[in-house]
Formats: sequence, structure tokens, C-alpha cells
Amino acid sequence: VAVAVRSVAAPIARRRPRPGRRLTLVRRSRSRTVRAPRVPFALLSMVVVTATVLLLTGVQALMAQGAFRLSDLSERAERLGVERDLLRLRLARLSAPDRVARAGSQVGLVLPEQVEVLPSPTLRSASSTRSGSPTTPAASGP
Amino acid sequence: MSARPPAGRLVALFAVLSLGLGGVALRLVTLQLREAPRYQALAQEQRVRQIQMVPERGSILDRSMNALALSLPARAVYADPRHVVDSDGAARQLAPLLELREPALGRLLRSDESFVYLARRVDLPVAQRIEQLDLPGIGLLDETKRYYPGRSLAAQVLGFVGVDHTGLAGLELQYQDLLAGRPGSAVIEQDPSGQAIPQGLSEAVEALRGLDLVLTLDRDLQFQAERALQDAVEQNAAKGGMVIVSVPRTGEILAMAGYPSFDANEFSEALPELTRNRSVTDAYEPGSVNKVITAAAALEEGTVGLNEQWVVPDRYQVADKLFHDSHRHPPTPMTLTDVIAQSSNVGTIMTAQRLGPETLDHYLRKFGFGHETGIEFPGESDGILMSEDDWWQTSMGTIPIGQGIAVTPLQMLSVYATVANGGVRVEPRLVRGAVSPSGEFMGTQPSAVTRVISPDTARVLTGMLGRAVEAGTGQEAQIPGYWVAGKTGTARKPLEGQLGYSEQYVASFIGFAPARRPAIAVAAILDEPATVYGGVAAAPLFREVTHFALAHLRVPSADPPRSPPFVVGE
Repeated sequence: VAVAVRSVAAPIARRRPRPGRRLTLVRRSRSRTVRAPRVPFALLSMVVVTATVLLLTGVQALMAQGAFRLSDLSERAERLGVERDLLRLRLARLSAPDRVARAGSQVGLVLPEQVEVLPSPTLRSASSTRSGSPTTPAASGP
Repeated sequence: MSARPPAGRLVALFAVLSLGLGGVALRLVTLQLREAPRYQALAQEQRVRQIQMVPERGSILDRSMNALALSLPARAVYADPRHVVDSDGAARQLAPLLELREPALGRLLRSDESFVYLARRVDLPVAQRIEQLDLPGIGLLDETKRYYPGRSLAAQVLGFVGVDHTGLAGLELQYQDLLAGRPGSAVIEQDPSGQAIPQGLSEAVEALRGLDLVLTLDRDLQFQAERALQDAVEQNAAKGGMVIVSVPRTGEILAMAGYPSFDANEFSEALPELTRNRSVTDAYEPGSVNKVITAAAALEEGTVGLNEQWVVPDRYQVADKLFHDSHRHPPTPMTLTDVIAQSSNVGTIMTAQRLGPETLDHYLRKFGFGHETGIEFPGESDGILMSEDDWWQTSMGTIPIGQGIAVTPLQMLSVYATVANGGVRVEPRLVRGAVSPSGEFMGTQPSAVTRVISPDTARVLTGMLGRAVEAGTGQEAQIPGYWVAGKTGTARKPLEGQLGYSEQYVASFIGFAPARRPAIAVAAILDEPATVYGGVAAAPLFREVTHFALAHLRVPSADPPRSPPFVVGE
């Protein structure tokens, strides 16, 4: 403290008051010193910042949730794909002719001795005109 | 006195702090500028994983879209023996699941390697059980496995794939590029537990699945042909046999069976000779079924009249060799129809001599001998047909009756299919088209066609072949309700590695039905049957397969005959 007093007091002591320049009290002008209220601005800022933070957090959370859901769905799709493939294999194995024949013979089924496919009466005339005959008349010889 | 610290201490403290902060700053600068790429790479290595995606191999389907071969996800089971805690215990638990012997598995688990495969292409249910065991040092890798649900069904045609899913034989090899698809890759960012980091780095180039190959084969007909062939081989105590069924008009192969065969799922355990599709890869001396070419050439060239009779003895000398018919008979007047129906060797040789070697050679080649059929199958044989300039003096005795040349069963069937198709040869084919991953069917181009003989000649030949079944050597091939045209063949097998013939025979019957409007052409061939004659050993096999095929394809039986259908040359 002593040091400060010394250093400040010395110039003051050397300064002399100037004539005609005395300080006077004046009324404070209201128009020049109008200042915006600070509280609403601060509140608004807090609201904006908080809302932005909440929005960003929400968006991030939603995106993360979506990503996890996508991952889950991909896994599920893969699992179902494998299941589908296994079912395809099972179907192919079950419908394989040797298995069907074995299963048939186990329950006493046999192939028919004679299978006859009858021509359709409506198609007969058309087919006979197209088929021709393998028989070559003797007259067509060389 | 004031509490003013000595200036020396302040300086020292400042120096220490400056040094410390300077060190930190220096390290930061080093990390951020100089070593940043290295650490970035290390971090990426830990988080970012690049995965090669193997495309799913396309299926092979029959003409009705039934699966003959398909690929499914599977797992490879591996071990890092350094991390295996109890090798004996692990071997005891894994051996029954992997169907391996426990001592062998234990040896693998105790090896000095850092990675050993314990089993490849393990089914998913088994892999899941292994995963549940949670054995230290045992891991699973994704891969795919090829399944052949019909086991030995058409195995020699389908072929098989290796461990890396590359086609090694048959259509799997022929259409490797089409079936294999295109590999993909994926880059993902993972957390330490292996979970993908949401919003992390994720790039993927999808693997493109291979196309599904749609064959011309009919699964049921193929099975029936294989079953009938197996029965015939066993009944005739034969060494093996082949059956081919085709559609003469389109060249489509409906069935192509060979016996003995193998289970395509266990191809590594099969003898290599069993994996060959002998109908396409092996040539044999066809014998009397070849006489149809001699007859076709004679009719087409007009060297023999349809009703012309000439006296045919039972023996005939060509150069230094005496040829004879299968049965002794007095010199008999015969027409060309009789020669074919009775399968007379002497009559056929006499017919061929009117043609001359050059013309006969021309027709043999025109019918497709000496070159590939165009079926597009790996290892297809051209057969053996010497240039006419290299023929022996006796060749005009042997070749007209189907000895001294070698053809594949498919080439021989193609001759009969040509006659059935009115003289037009259609290249045989095994593939109808392909199905894209989006389900779009893309058909193959129609087979190439060549006119070989005139429609009139084809009709006359059909009549002759019908006569051979009706009243000649092929009566065992008759099918109630259908007119059948065909020819027997009984060919001696040449000695291996030396000139001359053995006492072993190949019996065959090749023909088509219904003769009036052929729907199918069928070749039935038995190798070294106890009963050597084609009309006895092979014709019943032909009948059984053809009868089933006609019913299966819903081909109506013929109208009741009002007159004998085959009166050619009488």
C-alpha cells in the first residue's frame, strides 16, 4: 500500500488546477443511456441454446436408434434368409424322386404296368393332319 | 519480513513447468503432425474392417424349376491351437459333431500352427451347436456349401464344385462364369465387441449372385431312366450302361443317365471314372445301330431301289477278311428294309459297296461323326473317324456295320433324332436358359439345324426302323399302343492297346416314338452284358424308359391300326 500511495500521489501533488475548467453536476440524459434489458435476452439465449442442444441430442438419439434398428433388421433379414434357404433345401430333399419313390414303396405303392394316354377328340384331327405318315408308298421308291 | 518467495525458486518452478509443458506440447506436435497417420492407421485397423463378400452361387434347376443343385450358407470350423485349453476335451466334444475321429482331431488341436481348419462346409445347425460349446481357441468362418438334393441324380451331368466353390466337372465347370456371380466387398466400423458403430464408416459393394441355370433335363424322367438303367445293368450282369432321352425337334436332352454313378455331395470319395459323363466323353464302336447311316446314304444317293431285292449270303469276303451275319442262313433275296430289319451285316456291306468309301465317309460326317455335337459339355469326345484316305482295305466291311469307328452315345442318338426329325439334324443341348437374381428368365438361342437327308429318305428310313421293331430284331422294344422305330446294335469291343477284338460286347437299342410323329428319341446302351444281343439286353431297357417317358410327357397312344403301318420295301 505504501508503494502505491507513493507512486500515485507524487504526480497529483505536482499538477496544478487549471482556471475555468471546474467539474459541474449535470442531469443525466435518459435518451443517451437507454440500455436493453438483459434478463429476457439471457433467457432467450438459454432457451435457444437449450432447444438446439435438445434438438441435436434428439436427432442424434433418433439416428442412433434408427441405426440400431437397421442393424437388428439386417440381422433378422439375414437369419430369415438362411431359414428360407434351409427350407428350400428341405423342400428339394423331400421332393427328390428317389425319396418319393422310397416313401411310396414303403406304403405299398407300385408303378402301373400300363399307362395309356388317350388323344383328345378335339385335337385328334389337327394332330393327324400335321403328323403325316412314316409309311412311304412303294411308288415313291427310287 | 515479507513472504516473498525467493526469485530463484520461481525461476526454477517456471523452468520446470515450462519444460513439462514444452514436453507435452512437443509430444502433441509429434503426435498430431508426425505420427498422426500411423496412429490413424492403427485406430482404423482396430475399428474399420474390410470384408470380402463371396457371391452366392446360382442354382441348377431342371426344366420344371426343381432344384438339382443349390448353395447355402455354411461354416468352416478352425482352431488356433495356441489358445486351445483342453485339447482332449475339445476333441471329445467336437469329434461327433464334425464326424471326425477323436485322435486325429486331438492331433490337430495340439499342433504348433496358429491356424488349422478342422472342417469345411459344415452345415449351419451343426455350426450353431459348436458355437454354443464356446470352446477357447475354436472359431467359425462364413462360407457356402453346394448341395445336390438328388444325391446321385444326374450327378455325371451336373458335375461338382471344389472347396472354393469353383466348378470342377460337368455343367458346374462348363458354366462356372455364369453360376459364380461377382464378389462384393464391405467396409464397416466396429466397436471392440464387434458391433457395427452406428453412423460409423460404412461402404459396401454388394456381391452379385450368380444366375440360376435352367436345364432341359426332366427330373422325374432322369430318375426313372437311372432306375431302369440300374435294374437293367444288374439283371444283365453288365459292367455299366447309358441312357439318353432327347426331343428330336428341339435337340433338348430330357434325361442323360450313366451307371454306375456317384453321389455328387461326396464326390471326393468317388472313383474318377464314375464321375465322367460317358454319354458325351467316351467313344465306343456302335455296331449295327450304325447301319442306318449306310441305308440313309444308299436311299439318298439312289444306289439301292426301295423295292429292289438282291441275294444276300450269310458270308462275304472283303479284302482278306470274311464277314458274316449273326445267324447262318442260305442265300436269301432281301430288300434294304429286310437288311435293316434283320440287321444283316452282309446285306449292309453289299449296300455300302455300291456307295463307295468316299460317299459313305461323306454321310458319316454329315450325320455328325468325327466332331463334337455342339452340346457344350466339358471333355466331349469327337469320336474316332479316320480320314477316308487312311481307311484299311477291310474298312468297307467294318465301317458300314459300325465297327472300326468310334462314336459317343450322344452322337449315335443324334443320328436317330435326325431321322425322327425329318432329316434335319438339331444340335443337342442341355441348357434351356438362365434366371437372373431378379427372377427374369433368359432363354438360350435355338439349337443350330442342318439338313442331312431329305424328308422322303427320313420317312422311308422311319418305315424301315419301324419294321425292325415290328418284325425284326427289335421286337422287344415294342410298346403297346405306340408305333416304335429303332434299331438294335451288338458290337464287339476292341482290345485295349492292340489290334483286334475281344469277346466282350456292347449291346444297344436306339430309336424313337411314336414313329408317326416322334416326340422322343432314346438310346439305351449296356456295356458287357451277359446276354450280348442288343435286341435281348438293351431293347427292354429302351422299352421301359420310352414307355415311361411317353406317359410322363402325355404323348397320346396311336389310333388302332387299320393297316400295317410299315410296308416299306415289301
